[in-house]
Amino acid sequence: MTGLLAGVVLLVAVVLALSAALILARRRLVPDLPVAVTVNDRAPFESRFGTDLLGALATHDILLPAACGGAGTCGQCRVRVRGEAIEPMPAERARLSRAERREGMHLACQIRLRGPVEVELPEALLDARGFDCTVLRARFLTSLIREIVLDAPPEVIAAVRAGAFVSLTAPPHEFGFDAIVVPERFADDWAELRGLRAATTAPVTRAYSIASTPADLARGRLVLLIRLALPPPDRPRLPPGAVSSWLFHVAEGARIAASGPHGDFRAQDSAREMVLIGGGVGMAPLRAIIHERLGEGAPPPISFWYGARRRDDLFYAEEFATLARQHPEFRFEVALSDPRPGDRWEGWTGFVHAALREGFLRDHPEPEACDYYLCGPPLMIAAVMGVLDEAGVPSNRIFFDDFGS
Amino acid sequence: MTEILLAAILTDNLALSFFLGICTFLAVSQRISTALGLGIAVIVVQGVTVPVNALIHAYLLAPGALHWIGLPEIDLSFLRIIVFIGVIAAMVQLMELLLDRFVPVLRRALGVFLPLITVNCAILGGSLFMVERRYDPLEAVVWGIGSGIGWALAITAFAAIRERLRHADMPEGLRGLGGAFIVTGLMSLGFSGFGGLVQ
Repeated sequence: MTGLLAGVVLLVAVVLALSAALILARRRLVPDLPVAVTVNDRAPFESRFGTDLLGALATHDILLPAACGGAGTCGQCRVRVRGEAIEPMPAERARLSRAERREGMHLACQIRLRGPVEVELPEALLDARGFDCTVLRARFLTSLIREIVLDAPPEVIAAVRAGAFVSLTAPPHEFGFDAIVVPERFADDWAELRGLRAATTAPVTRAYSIASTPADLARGRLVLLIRLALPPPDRPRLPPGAVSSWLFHVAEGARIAASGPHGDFRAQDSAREMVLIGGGVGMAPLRAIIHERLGEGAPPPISFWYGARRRDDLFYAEEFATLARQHPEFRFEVALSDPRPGDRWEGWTGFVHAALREGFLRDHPEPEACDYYLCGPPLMIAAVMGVLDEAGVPSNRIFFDDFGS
Repeated sequence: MTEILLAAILTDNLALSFFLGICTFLAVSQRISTALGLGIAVIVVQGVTVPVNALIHAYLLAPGALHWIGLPEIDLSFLRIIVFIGVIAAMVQLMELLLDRFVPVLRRALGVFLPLITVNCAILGGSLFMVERRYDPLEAVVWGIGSGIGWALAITAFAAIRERLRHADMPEGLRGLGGAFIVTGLMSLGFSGFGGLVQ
């Protein structure tokens, strides 16, 4: 009996002593102190010791783009930290070039506040704000791409430049793909997806480029193209994309938490000929840019090269064909990499970079004098960069949006 | 004392003679700097937990240890593992706080492997060997620090070899973990050569 009692007393005493030691150490090492954060010479605000800079800025309505949600993988939440250099975290070494690190660039999600900091941000980012919007319309464009039209507050619309993106946040959710309403014509494509499930226990945020034309914006509408992020074919057990699944599930009238507009992908202020190359939902920012430029009157020649697999994957094609008829300076070319016999395809066959080389770069008198805008899957971007390099186009004439895959 | 120290570092090397703590050994040995950081963390954790556990064992748990409060007949040695693990867990947590405060880059580089030191068999093994071999508290300090140094030495050397091997022309199937296992085996073979050093 004494043995049992002594054992219990001993265990409790040991656990209490260890906990007390830890509590004391924690009080010493992680003090609950206020820390001043200064952004671009504005009045500093107070945050708590130990929080990450991305979150601290967000609570003061400075919403940096962070498609990965603070995991350090998207490299978008860049800030310049003034004053004493902070040693870069492993994630920052991977995302920032040596020159950027030397200038004091950091990823806000990787910085823990341990003392007063001064950071520099582009002023445009300070205009980005969080807002709630309503889904006005949602429709399937192809079996895996859905167009969602949102209404946004006027001050957000006023800040939108063609090429910008917004971040949408999906609340915690869980549903099976059998609950997604799919139009009859895509039912076959969806048969094998029905077994998938989307689930998340925490809100998740992802970025989507704005595809709105000036006319859409004038009516206060944000048009977004959502591609359903499916597990890669070689790893079918991974879950589908949390936000894209949820956006395929939301019905018209639903409320969505958003922030933005963000991004510096936009048409250059130049009179050079514009060549836009896109694939998949990379269509979105390019559509915005094309409509904006054509609406300005007397634009330079513009050509739009779009790559898809087959005719079913094409969308907005009628719209661009109409534009091309109305505007002689606009040229619209489509390359299908894998047309089906039933498609009766007579245009370019093969990948879009090959069509660009054959149909544009080879005969163009001065390919290095054009501006190139790329948005699409990483493989497409890499291939197009290859043919542009071959044609002698310097890299400062090439602009691309690397998240729109 | 010297024998204990030499045995701890070389002949009884926890990683290469007993194959303890091999999961972390293989996982955190891609870069020398990270491996060295983890090695130092292990030295500190081992250097503190083994002596503390030695004291707890000598004055609280061992048969007859409680005679100082007049209970000589009580034997609490069956509580050994749970108490040792508690001490190790608290120590690792403290280590995590310290690194997060003073060396955040190393803290991020170690990632989940830092808290995993809690269940690193090399650490618990160090304390259990100490009991099995009946070291007194002073010897326990030497054994604790020595075995930590031994493990740190092994993982740092291993990381150095792996850094070089990255540029080696190895058959496709052996790149990565396959080669790592072979290197571990060869290093263990090498360490067995220290066998006659300590009687």
